[in-house]
Amino acid sequence: MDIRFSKVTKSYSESGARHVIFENLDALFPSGAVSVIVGKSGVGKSSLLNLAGGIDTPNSGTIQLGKTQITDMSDRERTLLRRKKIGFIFQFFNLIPVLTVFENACLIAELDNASPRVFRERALFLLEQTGLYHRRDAFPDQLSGGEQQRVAIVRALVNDPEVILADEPTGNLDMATGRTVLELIVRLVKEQNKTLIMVTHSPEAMGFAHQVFTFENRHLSATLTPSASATNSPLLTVTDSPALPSGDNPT
Amino acid sequence: MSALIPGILIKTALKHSLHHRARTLLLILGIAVGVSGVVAIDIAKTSVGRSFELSTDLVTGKSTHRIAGSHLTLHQSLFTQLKVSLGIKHCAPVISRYTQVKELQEKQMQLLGIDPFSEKAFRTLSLSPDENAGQKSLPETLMSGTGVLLSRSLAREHGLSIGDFLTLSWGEKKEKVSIAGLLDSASPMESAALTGILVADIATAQEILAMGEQISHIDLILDSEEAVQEIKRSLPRGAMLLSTARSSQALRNLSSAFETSLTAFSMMALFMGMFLVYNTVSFSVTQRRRLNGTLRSLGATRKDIFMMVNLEVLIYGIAGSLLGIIAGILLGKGAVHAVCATVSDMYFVLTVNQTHIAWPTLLKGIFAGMLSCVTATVLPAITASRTPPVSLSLASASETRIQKNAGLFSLAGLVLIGLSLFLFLFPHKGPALDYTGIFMMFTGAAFMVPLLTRVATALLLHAPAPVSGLLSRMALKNIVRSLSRTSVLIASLMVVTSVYIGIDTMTASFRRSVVSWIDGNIGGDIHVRSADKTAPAIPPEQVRQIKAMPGIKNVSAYAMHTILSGEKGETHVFAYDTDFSNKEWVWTAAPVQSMDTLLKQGQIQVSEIFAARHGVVPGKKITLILNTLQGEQKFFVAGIFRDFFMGGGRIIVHPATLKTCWGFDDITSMQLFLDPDRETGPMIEAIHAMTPSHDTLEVRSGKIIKNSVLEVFDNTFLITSALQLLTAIVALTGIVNAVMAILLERTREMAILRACGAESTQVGKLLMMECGYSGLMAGIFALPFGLFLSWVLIDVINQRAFGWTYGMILQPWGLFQAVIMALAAAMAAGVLPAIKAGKNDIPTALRME
Repeated sequence: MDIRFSKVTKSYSESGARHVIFENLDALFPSGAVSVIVGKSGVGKSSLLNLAGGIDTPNSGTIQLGKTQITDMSDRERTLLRRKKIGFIFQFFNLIPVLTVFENACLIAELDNASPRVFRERALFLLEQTGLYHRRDAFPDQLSGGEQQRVAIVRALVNDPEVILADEPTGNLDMATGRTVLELIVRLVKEQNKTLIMVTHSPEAMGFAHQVFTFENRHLSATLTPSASATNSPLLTVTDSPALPSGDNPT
Repeated sequence: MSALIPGILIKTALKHSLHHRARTLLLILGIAVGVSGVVAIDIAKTSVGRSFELSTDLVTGKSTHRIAGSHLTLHQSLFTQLKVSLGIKHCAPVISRYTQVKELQEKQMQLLGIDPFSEKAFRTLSLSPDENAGQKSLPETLMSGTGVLLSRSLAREHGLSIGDFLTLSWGEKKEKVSIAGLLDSASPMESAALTGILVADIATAQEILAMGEQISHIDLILDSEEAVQEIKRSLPRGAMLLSTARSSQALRNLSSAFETSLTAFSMMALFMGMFLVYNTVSFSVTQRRRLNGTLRSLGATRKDIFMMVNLEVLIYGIAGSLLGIIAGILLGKGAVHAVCATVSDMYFVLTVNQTHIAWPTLLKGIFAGMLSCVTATVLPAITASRTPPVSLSLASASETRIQKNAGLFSLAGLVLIGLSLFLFLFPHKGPALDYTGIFMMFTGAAFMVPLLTRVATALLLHAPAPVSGLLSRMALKNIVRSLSRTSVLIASLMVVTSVYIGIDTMTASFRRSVVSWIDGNIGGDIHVRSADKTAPAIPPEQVRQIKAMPGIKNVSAYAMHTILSGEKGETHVFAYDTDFSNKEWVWTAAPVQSMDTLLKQGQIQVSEIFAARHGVVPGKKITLILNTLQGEQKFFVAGIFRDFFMGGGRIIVHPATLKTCWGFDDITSMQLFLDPDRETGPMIEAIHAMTPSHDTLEVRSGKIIKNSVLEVFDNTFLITSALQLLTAIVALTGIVNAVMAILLERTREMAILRACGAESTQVGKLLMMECGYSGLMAGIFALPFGLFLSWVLIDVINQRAFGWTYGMILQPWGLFQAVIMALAAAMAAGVLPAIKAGKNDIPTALRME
């Protein structure tokens, strides 16, 4: 499922003053591709991810997930879309402390009233894939940081979403663990043919990406990586500039 | 970091609190609630004391002793004897009777008949110089006609002047008198006291009250024990010499239990206020964890943070105390009338309702406000001071502590409950220690809440569907996870529900007992008594006629007289000619069947209120000394019966005893039990028809009497309902605070749920489930403590303080209702936070930490 940003403007007000994060931004995150967004702190990387996931809404412009225009949807519709089509991975893992590893993994599916037989099997499969099957009854505070992030990855994938949004998933892990987690995310995403948009500071992450977006001065510039040719996405092969820079309209 | 202390820290805290105005207002309100309760009740109590002094002092005057008759009257010749034969210099005859005055909006006034020439040494009454200018002196005014003297301020208040008429009524009798003059005093106190009396010449009073040559008592000023003994020796049959101070003190002591109960109510209001302050401050501390962490990381010490929280609350405490004092004065003014009316109904007549606001009362209010602020703030301030110097601090530290120490808390709780039980079972006088016990019991119960909650949650987690759903499991686990917050919520709701159960069970049991007493003791279909209170006997011919009327199945006929028995005061004596009442025995010296024999032998039965008041204790002291016509006489108590007769209890004697000891041989009241096919209305008409004049007999339907008794009962318990409501409001505010604090701590977690696809309704549902389970647990935990409280109220406090005993009646439906009420209250408190939780801005919340 492609994610397309068209003329998207996002700003916020603070003490009466308007602060623009980006204006008239156009971007395309093709289906099945791994897109990495890099940039300095506070430039708007996480805001872009929140917009893509329907957590936040733009001031103007449209955002499309496949054929669905999420900017026209109500809060409830966006929530349901998120539940069914999008998986989130956060920097601080954000597991629910009162639930076990297995319960955390099943959280979204249970919220969705999905068939227990199906999601439980899938959760156990993913826990096995991530090497956490034996820790399924443990609570988050009994796990290491790397283990917690692996549970978060399972949680994001258990509902079989089409898009995975990861906000600095290795930001809170040491380098070795971070690399393991990164490899795991990319492996699972590729194996299951998902679209991944990842915000990161990690230079290593770029090695896994099909395209790298750089945020600078409210501009988003895209670069295809050598691995872009390995993907089946026609968008990445048709043009070398799938994500168009935003209009130069600083406020 | 010394530059930050204290100015900038206080400034920061105050700015933060001003930013959250609603919460600051709640803090001020909490203190105001407590302080207003303390001030209002203190005003009511001191006003009762002052009204008592004003009501009695002016009437008692400077007298040291009083001669009174056992029948509450004396022949006026005794006064002459004292003056002439014994040469008593300072003695004054007095007539005293309470009357209601129509023109003064049925105000109860004491009609005082005095001899103006004997008065000077006793009372300093003077006429108002304005209205009576150029007129006669007070003795001349009194002796010149049949009028009465009235307080000038009261006359002005009701638009009355000299020459106007007043309609006095007592019992069924009415009499019109004119206002002969107006009384006034330069002293504000005396002026206030005058508003409770009407003064007449003794002869005029005798005429108005149709007392013939009888007087109420003789006041004396005696300065030596010899004079006392000499008078005692010379007194005729049925007259007794009493010390004025001791009688007044004995009378004043009567209402002490009632006043202690009022203090307990004010303490409860203060406690509720403290709870509100505690909740508000702890919520504010949660809200400021990040700010406090930053301040700590910038160099503020723990002491600085501790002081900052305390100083801020103290500043608002002063505002709350001042507001509380104003509200307390207003409330107190309203309460004085109600409290004086209750005291007049139950203990002694207060003719003056004086609102007395003393400086100590106001200082007490300020002190209570400040003390409750400091006490309620200590724990939250310590929590705030322990905030680690980083902004990423979590509440987990306090949670870990409470989780670890739940067992220890429970143990402390059990010890407190044990101590309270010891207090309840330990024999002592007055209810003060019992109320301390109740406070300890509830504190102990609150200490047990963390462990009880963990056990209940563990049990519920093993319950089958629907409890086993994901949100349900999360809600239950969240309750245990946030035990520092949820246990406060559950404990407060538990206390409120326990108070509800306790008071509800007590009033329901009491009411049921009163109903059963009414049915058993005054359950006749028709009540007949003399309309003339000065001559209460029903003519024997009429008694015979009524008894012989067709359609009457049974008749309870009895004599009821009020006698004066030394310092025991006025005592109601009953003698049954025929008795169909159903007495519930608290204690008997012999089988109930032989009671008649014991009464015939001269023994007496006493009601339990009378027994409690005069120290009759089965197995220890079962004799009573009463003043009879033959002087002091010892009586054996054959049994104590449960009774709700107002007016200090009563004694039952054999008609023969009544005749020999007090000289009464009559029937004053009858209860008629009709045949089942007879209707009350026509029978009342028939009784009226056979009496020569309609107004000689008072004939009333038993049903109406029953309803009016129950109405009085229900009105008496209105104050407890008001208290229940106040408790509920404060607790609900506290619960909302606790839920908001929980929400604040979980904002990020809720946002994660929302980001992961939880709908706003699901997040709201989660919070509602937490509230619901907390409410359910609070309701269930409240059951044993509520029943414990009702036992304390019924079997300890009511018995010790008021002398009433009655069985506890369990109402399963009422208990179920209480649990549902707790559940509903918790869920109601959760509605706003749940809506707020669903509406939280997810991106902002996700950025939090």
